[in-house]
Amino acid sequence: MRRILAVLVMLATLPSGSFATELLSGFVGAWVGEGTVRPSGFDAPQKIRCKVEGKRTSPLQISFAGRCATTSGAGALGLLIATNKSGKNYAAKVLLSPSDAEVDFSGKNVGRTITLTQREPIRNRGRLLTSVITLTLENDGMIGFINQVTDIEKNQQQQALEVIFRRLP
Amino acid sequence: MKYIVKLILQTSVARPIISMVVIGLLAILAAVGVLRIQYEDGLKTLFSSESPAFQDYKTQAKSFTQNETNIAVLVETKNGFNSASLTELQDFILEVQFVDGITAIRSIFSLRRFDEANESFSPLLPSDLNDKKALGAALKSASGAGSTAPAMISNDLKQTVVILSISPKMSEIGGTAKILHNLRQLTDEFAQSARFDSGGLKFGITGLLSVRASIIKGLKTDQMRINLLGAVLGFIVSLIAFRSFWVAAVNTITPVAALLFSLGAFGWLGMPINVLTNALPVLILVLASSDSIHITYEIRRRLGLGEGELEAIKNTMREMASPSILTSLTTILAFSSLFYSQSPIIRDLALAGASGVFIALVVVLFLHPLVFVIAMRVPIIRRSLPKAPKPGKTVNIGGIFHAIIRHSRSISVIGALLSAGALWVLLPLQTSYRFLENIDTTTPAAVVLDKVEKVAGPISSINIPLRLNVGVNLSDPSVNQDLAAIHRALEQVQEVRSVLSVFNLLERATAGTSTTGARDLSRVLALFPDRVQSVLISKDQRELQVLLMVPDNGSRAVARLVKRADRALAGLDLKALKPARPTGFLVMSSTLSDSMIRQLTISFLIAALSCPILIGLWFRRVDFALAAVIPNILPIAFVGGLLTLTGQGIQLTSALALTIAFGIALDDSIHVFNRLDLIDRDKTKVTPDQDIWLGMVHISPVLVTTTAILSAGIMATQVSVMPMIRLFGLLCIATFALALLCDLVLLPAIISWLKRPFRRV
Repeated sequence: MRRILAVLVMLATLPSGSFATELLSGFVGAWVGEGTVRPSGFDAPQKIRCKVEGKRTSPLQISFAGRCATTSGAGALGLLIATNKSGKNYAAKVLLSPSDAEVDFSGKNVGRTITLTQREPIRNRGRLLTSVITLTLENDGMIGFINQVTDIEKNQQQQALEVIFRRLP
Repeated sequence: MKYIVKLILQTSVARPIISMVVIGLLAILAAVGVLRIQYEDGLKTLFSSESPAFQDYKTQAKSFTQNETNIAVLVETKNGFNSASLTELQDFILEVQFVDGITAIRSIFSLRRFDEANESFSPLLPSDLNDKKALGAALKSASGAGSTAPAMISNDLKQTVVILSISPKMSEIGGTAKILHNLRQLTDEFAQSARFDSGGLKFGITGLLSVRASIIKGLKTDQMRINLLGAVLGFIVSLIAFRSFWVAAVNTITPVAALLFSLGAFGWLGMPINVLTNALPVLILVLASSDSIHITYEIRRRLGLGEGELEAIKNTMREMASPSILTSLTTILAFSSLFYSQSPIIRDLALAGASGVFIALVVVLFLHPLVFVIAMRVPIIRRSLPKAPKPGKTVNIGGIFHAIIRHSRSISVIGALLSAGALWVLLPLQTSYRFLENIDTTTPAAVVLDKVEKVAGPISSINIPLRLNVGVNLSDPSVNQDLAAIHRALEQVQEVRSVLSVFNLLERATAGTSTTGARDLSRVLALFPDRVQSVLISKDQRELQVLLMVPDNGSRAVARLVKRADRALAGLDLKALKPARPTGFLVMSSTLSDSMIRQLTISFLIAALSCPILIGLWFRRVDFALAAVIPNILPIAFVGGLLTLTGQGIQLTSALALTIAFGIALDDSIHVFNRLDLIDRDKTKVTPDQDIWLGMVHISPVLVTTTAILSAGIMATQVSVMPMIRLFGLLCIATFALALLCDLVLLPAIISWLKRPFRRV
């Protein structure tokens, strides 16, 4: 499952934003996720399972790294999320299905949901694609991870990945 | 020789306390060395060489991912796979990929069908496993009915195979053991937690790595069991032979110490225990036992004749040091002849064997007299040592030797004819090798492998690389046309169970569709997982590979199949592809095992010719050199001929066993020659035949006892978990028994027949 890959987010500026800090701390811990994935973005959905660990790497930055598996293969998943001084803006560098390339993301949070939008579309397997990743820290402590893919040329949209993470005891 | 005897007498006999302290310190060092011993199967390096077959294999391994590092998991369910059990299997497949070191997976869930609408591949099994109609059709297709590609589920839908690829970094035996351990834990958890409505899931793990892990486990178990049992059996036979607990106990100390020092040296020198060196420690044990017995016999005899204690030890060492050194030299020579092999692991065996025998010799020469010096200070042992000759018994034996000497000519001719006949059956050699010969068919890995092969077909393959001609690329239609022709030709080859290449993967995936898109290899192959591509397409995309999936029925069967495949391809008019020489682990190991066994036979012939020359030079007797040939060739040729007649052929282990057994069997002849030489030096002799008679009467009980101890010690190999070690033991015992018979009957007859026309030169 090489389509779900490491996420690297680097924001040089450090600082405060107490809600953002609290929001990011919600990702810290060991998680197991279940859901569905469309490996190339628009094909048949498959079951997916992920095991990741969220770690705080700086006051406004957390890494979310692990591995995801489908019935046809597995791959590494890494997520490094950081916010800026105000605590309202987020930026990310993402390697995520179906792009298979390192992609920059940026976004904001609305309540406990962080929405990251791909900065530049990327051509992958003949399709020009862009993604929107939504991370929601649910009230019951679970995390919702959704990746919505858009084929810009065909104007098709598809939910390529949806995983609900539960904290491991 | 005099210097060595002097050194023994000045140290072990004259300064027993200092010698004991030195030996005690060395024993502690050796014990630490034993803890450092490494275990490896050695099968990976067995065939490493500069030979074309190995170089072909190496080149192929660089271009294509190897199937040998795969682990196969057999999953069974009583009721046949249904939506409930498939859901559990799916859960396992997701979970198993979190086991560290597993990089790719192939299962019933990774089977694909071509989706015409999207021009892409989608899973064969429906997303909704509760869709019974779709599931039923998919399972039928997955069982591979009507296809030459390997199936992933049995026809009765009760067994399925999951293939796991592991990281090359972890394919070494240490990493594999960790993966297999974690995998077993996981399969146990799933087997225990299976739901009732799924019929329960039962898991089995196999594959070549699993087999190698079984071998390593067996090696560790064997060392403890075989050596311990060897020592106990040696003690029991000593007890029977000497009819004294204390003498048997004294006689057991030196062999056990020889074993300890040899193993310690292996540990310190980094010599691992592998499938070939596994039987070495017990061999060292019994060889040291044999030499110790000769010395013990002589000391007791001299004490029985009234010699003083120290005098008996000194005189014995003066007489017995020479044959002990010579017997060890011939065994070292037999081991050294294995250096001729191209295989690093056989050369390692040569080094370990030669050094082990040398260490055992040093221990016997220095420790055994020391043991007696100390034992004689213990009254109960001192009282049990002297043994007076029993004339009644020697008269009976003497009658037999009178008859042998009387019919020396006839016996010699019969021996020569038997040797010629046995060699005629043995040559040309019928070699045989099978990777799985190293484990029992009842081993879990072998049982599961058998089941996996029934479901998915053979896991071993003959690999035929196909090079793209210059100017041709994968999207060229002629590539697909050539592949089709190659497939048709190879599918006709007798005994080939299935043919696997990108061609039939595409055929299966696009079956029932009208698409022509799938005919463009380069475009459609991009949709296959990397792992599948890397097995069938080279990294530079200039080579394809066709795998003939065949069972490992032994090297001769593989050689036959390779010839048939070559013939089938020779008649094809190919435009885009050029087939290379068949290769792969199976072909490489089959080809090289054949040449290695032949090389070992040459090693044996070197040993067989060198040892009589050494004997002749040692005793300065041409008649001894000539007489040593037939009685020592016959047992080997006879056992080898028997293996050939029974169709078993000469396996790697047989060739090694016969070479080493030759070196050991020769020891008995040397003791006969030594005794005859000692008698010959005695001026009171009357005729040469009387010399022979006297010598044989004196030495025959010792030969019988040493052979019994050797055989009893080697009998310990029968508790080995590895069939080849058991075979090694049996062949050694058979050779020792025949060698004893030859030394007692044929050797005196030949010496008598020669009538010593050469005398001393």
